[in-house]
Amino acid sequence: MLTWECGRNLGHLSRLRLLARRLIAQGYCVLAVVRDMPSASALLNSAGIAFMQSPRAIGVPPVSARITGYADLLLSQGWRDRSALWGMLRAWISVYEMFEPDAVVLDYAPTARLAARILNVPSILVGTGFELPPARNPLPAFPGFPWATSEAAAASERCALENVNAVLSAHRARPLASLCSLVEAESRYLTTFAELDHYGAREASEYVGPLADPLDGRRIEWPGHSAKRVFAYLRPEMTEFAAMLKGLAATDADVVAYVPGVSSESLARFETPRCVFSREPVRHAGFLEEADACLSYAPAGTVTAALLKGVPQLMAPVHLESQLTAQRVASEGMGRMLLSPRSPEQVTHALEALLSDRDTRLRARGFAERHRGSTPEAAVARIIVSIETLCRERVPSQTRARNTQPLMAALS
Amino acid sequence: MSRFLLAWELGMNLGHLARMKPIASRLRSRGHRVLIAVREVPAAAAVLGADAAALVQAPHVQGQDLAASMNGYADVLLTQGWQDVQILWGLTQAWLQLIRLYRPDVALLNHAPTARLATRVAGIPAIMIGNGFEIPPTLDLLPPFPIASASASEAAASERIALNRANAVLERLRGPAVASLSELFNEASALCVTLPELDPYGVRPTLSYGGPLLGAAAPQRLDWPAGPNRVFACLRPDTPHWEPALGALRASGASVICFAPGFTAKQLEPYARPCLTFSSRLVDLKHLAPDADLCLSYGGEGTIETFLVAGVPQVIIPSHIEAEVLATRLEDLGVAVVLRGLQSRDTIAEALERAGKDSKYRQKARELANRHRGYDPDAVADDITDRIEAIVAGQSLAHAHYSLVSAKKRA
Repeated sequence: MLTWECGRNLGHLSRLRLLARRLIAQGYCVLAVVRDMPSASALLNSAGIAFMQSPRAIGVPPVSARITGYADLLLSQGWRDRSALWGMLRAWISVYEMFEPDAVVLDYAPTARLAARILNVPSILVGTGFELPPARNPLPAFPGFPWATSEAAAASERCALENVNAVLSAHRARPLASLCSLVEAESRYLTTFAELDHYGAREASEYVGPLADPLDGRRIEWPGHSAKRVFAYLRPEMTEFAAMLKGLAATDADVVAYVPGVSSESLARFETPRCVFSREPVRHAGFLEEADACLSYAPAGTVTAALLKGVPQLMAPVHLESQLTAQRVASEGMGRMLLSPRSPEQVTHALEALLSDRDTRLRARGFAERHRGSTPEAAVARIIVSIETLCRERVPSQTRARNTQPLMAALS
Repeated sequence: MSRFLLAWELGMNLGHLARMKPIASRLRSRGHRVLIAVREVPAAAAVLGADAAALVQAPHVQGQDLAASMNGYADVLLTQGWQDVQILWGLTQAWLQLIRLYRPDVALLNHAPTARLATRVAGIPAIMIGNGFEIPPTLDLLPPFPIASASASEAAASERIALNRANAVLERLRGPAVASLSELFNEASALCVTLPELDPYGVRPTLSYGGPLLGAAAPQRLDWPAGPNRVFACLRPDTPHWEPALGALRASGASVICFAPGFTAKQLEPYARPCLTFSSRLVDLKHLAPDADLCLSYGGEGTIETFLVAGVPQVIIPSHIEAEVLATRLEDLGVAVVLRGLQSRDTIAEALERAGKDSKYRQKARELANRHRGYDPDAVADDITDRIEAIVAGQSLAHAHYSLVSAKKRA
């Protein structure tokens, strides 16, 4: 069973799809339980992967407090409300009991992880540094934000831990000593690199690099009007989105931009022979290596893919995770931040400055050089080996009889 | 023993859960297996309690509101993933996976049209329970909504799109095609669980009415604060004009209990006064209804019915298309004042005054209540569960109408 519970956009599904394809080819029965039905319909459909809807905290009021660490992410996903958490856990348990997986891959799926722990289902965790914090007790605060102190993060963890243990006690399951046990499991793979780990570098063996399929997306050619080329990935929730589009289009370079969630009419206003917009994802293979700069809101997937091709970054982050990504990239000298640009000219200037910045380009190329051998195929192969091992070690009939019998009663 | 899948796919808030709870617990106590698929898992955990043990998340698309400018039922479908063949296929296959894993003998669909496509593909008998809005009349072309703004030609245009998408998905999943959408909403296997008078299309001879399922226990009993007139209010942050509505309630001097979930304390604070009690937790409405003079709401059916069977007139500020359709019906019945368009504290105060003081509203509400005197929610739930079991046993639903007599007999 492959699961995705929290987070947005397409990165999680493209990771799970690569794994699912390989597992299906090797004869495994695969079920994906995922957050977003429209994107699953688009991405998993052609690959013949069966999928279901993951439980969500719909209707729970949003949390207004500032996010200090992993526990706050959980609290914002329904873990603040014990009854909601109990319901989501029950809903996950129902799926496990019906499908009876021999192993589960968890991609940013904390409640699914909790259910796997109760049911003793061997678990493989995959995710970026942000999604899989260092397994320490208490979990560390997010680095680089003045409000994210270790005390504040620990206080949030105590709150999440009290709630989760109340729910576990209602299930007659053993309590958690700390949230740390949710972010460790039989196997754990960071789908990033040390230089881009939101919490800073960890043991080298933990990193497998991204599980992104470079053949995903629509094939687009560079317009061919300029010697310099800029790839952009912008979303309407970016601050000063119109200024961003206008400044991008005014840059003296070929531009290809992926801009989802906006009508083609409103994009047409900014289109020029040098500047092409796509509302669908753009295929990276054979394309990204020709870019001289990448402008984005700093989503980990795009930033990593472009850096693997030695492309320097201009980043205008929109949320905490992308803010952390951007900080890491900037501190490694592989890109620059563009914080709240007030005019299109500011965007154009920042892009042109980056295009002529030799030092940043060299550092981005150095990153690409260091990770030249890292391919999604190799990462998938490593994870599959550990899935195979866990499935082999498990004695299905015994384990199921022991673990699911009392809970099956709920379905009776 | 049969295996039941209870599915709630569309709509918000608590009404669908309140319907499912008494049926689920009865089916279980009669030895059946029950799995409940719900739109809102947190609400389900709160309302269903122990009955939530076997629950799953219903497949859905997120973040598309029911626009007010809808002409017919197909427009509801188009906002919920039916506009796009690929998404509709994805939702249907997600329901199918659930059906394949759980292997139900019968599906009980509580406003779950995409689940209906899946039961058709899987060849599983489906029974629909819902209100008149959710079970549109079985005509070759579904009628436009019975409201002034609805256009028949636009409703038909939307239906063509929805029908086309449904058949594309059915073909792909090798299910039998439908000639019209109404084939999916066949009245013969549907049970309308409201007061027959509340059917927005008028009482239909072809549809069975099971009576409202208002039996779900509410955890919190509140007593009326001191005051001359007693007004129960049910408002949410997405209720239009909730601020002037609360302003009008505050200024009225009436004794008010207001169920207001989802608001922050700061939002409600300006309206606090001794004779106005706010609650964000479920309130025992049956305890309050007999002594209420007026009910102000956004059009939630359960609240409206609970107060109507106690003869209480209504003021409604409809917050979505289903509420608008219901409000129009209640207006026609003469039991409600409906507030549409721009409102101020004064216009809402005037409406509260009119609905409370003009005796014709109370008289009509009492007439309706008299027709349902002796309404017993437990007897209705028993009766509906009997009928569902009868359908599973292959008996027809036709002409089995909810009436006082049958409900009383059971009681």
